[in-house]
Amino acid sequence: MNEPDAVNEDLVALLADVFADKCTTETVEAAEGGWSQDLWASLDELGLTAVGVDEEAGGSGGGLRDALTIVRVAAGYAAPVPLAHTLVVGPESRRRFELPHRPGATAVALYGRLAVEETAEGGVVRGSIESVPYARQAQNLIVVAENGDQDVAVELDASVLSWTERTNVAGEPRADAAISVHVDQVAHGIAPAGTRETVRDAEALAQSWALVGAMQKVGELVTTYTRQREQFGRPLSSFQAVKQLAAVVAGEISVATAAASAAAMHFELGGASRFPVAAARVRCAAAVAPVSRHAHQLHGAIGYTREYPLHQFTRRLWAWRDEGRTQRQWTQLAGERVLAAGAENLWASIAS
Amino acid sequence: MDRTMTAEEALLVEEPLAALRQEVREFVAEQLAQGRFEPAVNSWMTGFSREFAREVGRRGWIGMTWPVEYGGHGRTAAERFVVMEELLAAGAPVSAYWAGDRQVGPALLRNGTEEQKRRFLPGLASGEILFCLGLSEADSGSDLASVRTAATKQADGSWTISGAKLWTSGAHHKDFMLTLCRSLPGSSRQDGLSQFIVDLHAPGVTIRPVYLSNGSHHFNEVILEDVRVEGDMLLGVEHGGWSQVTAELADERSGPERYMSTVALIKAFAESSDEDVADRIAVTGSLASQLWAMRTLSQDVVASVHQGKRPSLLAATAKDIGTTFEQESVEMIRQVLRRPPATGSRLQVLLDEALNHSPGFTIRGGTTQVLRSIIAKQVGM
Repeated sequence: MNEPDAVNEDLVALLADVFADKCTTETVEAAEGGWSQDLWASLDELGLTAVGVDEEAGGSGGGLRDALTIVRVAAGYAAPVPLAHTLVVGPESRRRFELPHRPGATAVALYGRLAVEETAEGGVVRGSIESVPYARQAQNLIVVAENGDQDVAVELDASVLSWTERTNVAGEPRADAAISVHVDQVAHGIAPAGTRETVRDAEALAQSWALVGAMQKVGELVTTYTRQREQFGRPLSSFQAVKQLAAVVAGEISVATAAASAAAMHFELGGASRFPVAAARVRCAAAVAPVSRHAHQLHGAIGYTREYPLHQFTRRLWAWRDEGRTQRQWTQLAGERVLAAGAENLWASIAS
Repeated sequence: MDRTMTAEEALLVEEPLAALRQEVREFVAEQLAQGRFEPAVNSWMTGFSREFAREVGRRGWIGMTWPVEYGGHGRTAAERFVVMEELLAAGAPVSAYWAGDRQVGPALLRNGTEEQKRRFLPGLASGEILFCLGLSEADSGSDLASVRTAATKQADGSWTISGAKLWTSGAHHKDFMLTLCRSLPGSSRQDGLSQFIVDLHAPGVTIRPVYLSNGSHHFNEVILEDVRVEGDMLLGVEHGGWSQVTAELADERSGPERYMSTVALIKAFAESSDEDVADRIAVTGSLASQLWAMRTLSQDVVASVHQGKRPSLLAATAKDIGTTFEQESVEMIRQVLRRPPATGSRLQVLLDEALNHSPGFTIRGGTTQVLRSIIAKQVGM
């Protein structure tokens, strides 16, 4: 697979060691419905849960691309831990809303409601949030919401709330809660309107990289399986019909990888156009159907059994492509963004 | 954990690119204002204009990356990418010089003699000399190694070529054909092939039209009957043509023309006021996202070629996914139309054109099936 040029090879090598050891198929299986505390502790010990945050601020150093690389590699092991939010979405929220860094697993709610009410006991933060990834397992909870002509973020101890936990199609924990806490219990920050949208973009970016990581693993499984499995006296990989489908899988992964990588650059540069992040999110999500469909087709019945690991990745792909916002919502948003300067400037908006 | 800028980033953020892009856009606007062309789909293959080629050449936009001493302009691959994509986005008639700029020039630079470079490159770069490619034959389509057109070496060092090339795009407008021939009698497959520069006005050359399904003249059969070619028109290594041709494929397969053939239609659709607004936004969002993503992949290939690599997996992938997208784009637009577009409207004209050309998207330059075989092999199958 094509690797982004600037990938930090030492980091990738370290990650491969850690995940191969601490995040086996069995780890993922055992964690379904919850998370792997052991894996989290191992990552935490190595400082890998605070990459992308400056050392002076209490992090491990490194940049956004390093954080995204961890998210991508972790997705290739179906790691049942909240890395996307802890490494990317949480820090982005804290930076934008000037909240101090907090160590520990972090969950971020970006699509909920929040309001501050004055009561006899002082200010009370009320709101409701839904489908927050790993909210019950996380130590910190950040809620980002709109509040009049500004956006607001609050950060609190996630265990303060009483969570209703569900799982997504991949068996990953997602939780809802009603918020009603005294303002003294939260750190809060305000930022100009539109900041929440930027943080949602950061989430979309992390999702794109996670989709790529899981799809790359699916691609590897396809190659390995079709070379090993023999039918009619020869490996499946020697059949033209099989090769043609496997090539579609590889091609979709290549284009998704290129798009996710370029979107990270656009996000970091902070240009005026937010179309690239939406476009990459759409393209990565759109790759999921052909990649997962063909991968399962090529694996036959074994591919959707519990014992064979393919489902640990395809089920996550099915979940992630529509979380936060669905593929359709991102497509609509990509359209709005690319047409913002007028349809007559469509090409200029794509190639800017 | 310092990070350095990726090649792709360097491609995108390089300062002079914005100015160059603006320059091309102004040129396009001026040409449109003067009625020099109508934006068309597939214009890099079927939009022919010698005058337009000269105009582009005059501005230094052909052979941009070639050395200045051969009439090139010593510019970067990134700058060339900007010019290509802006002209494609405009649906401009660039087919006259496209193959020369993309393949023939680089092939001459890689394999040509000093004399050949001096003779052809300046004219190619100015848009005065136009080349087409003579590869396929009646019995050699996807299986290019089976070519039979024979080049026979004469006692005086010249060659006599006999055979017929098929599907030669624009041969009836062009001056020369870079022709793949079997130069070693009795050789088979990849062995014993050589490339020759054949003057299309030489005695013994007959160009016969092969009309497209809509009646337009684009393809030709080029019949060569005892055509005399001087010894100095052999390109590169005698009997070493196969590796030369395959080296051209990354250039041929990964450029922006492999996903931009329908951009004129996509723009017309996005601008159409006749469609449901929500549908138009969503479909434009989907098409634009795919275009943008293909573009990132194509830029990766350009960057990789620029670093001296030969990214055959990415190049094959770019063409497979890109041309499949071109076909899908036509279908996506068609499926969302609320009513038949008015006859003679830009949308109707471009949609019909796109439909007529769309079968070719996934055939030319290597069929989807051949590309997928290459991709599968590259990923270890």
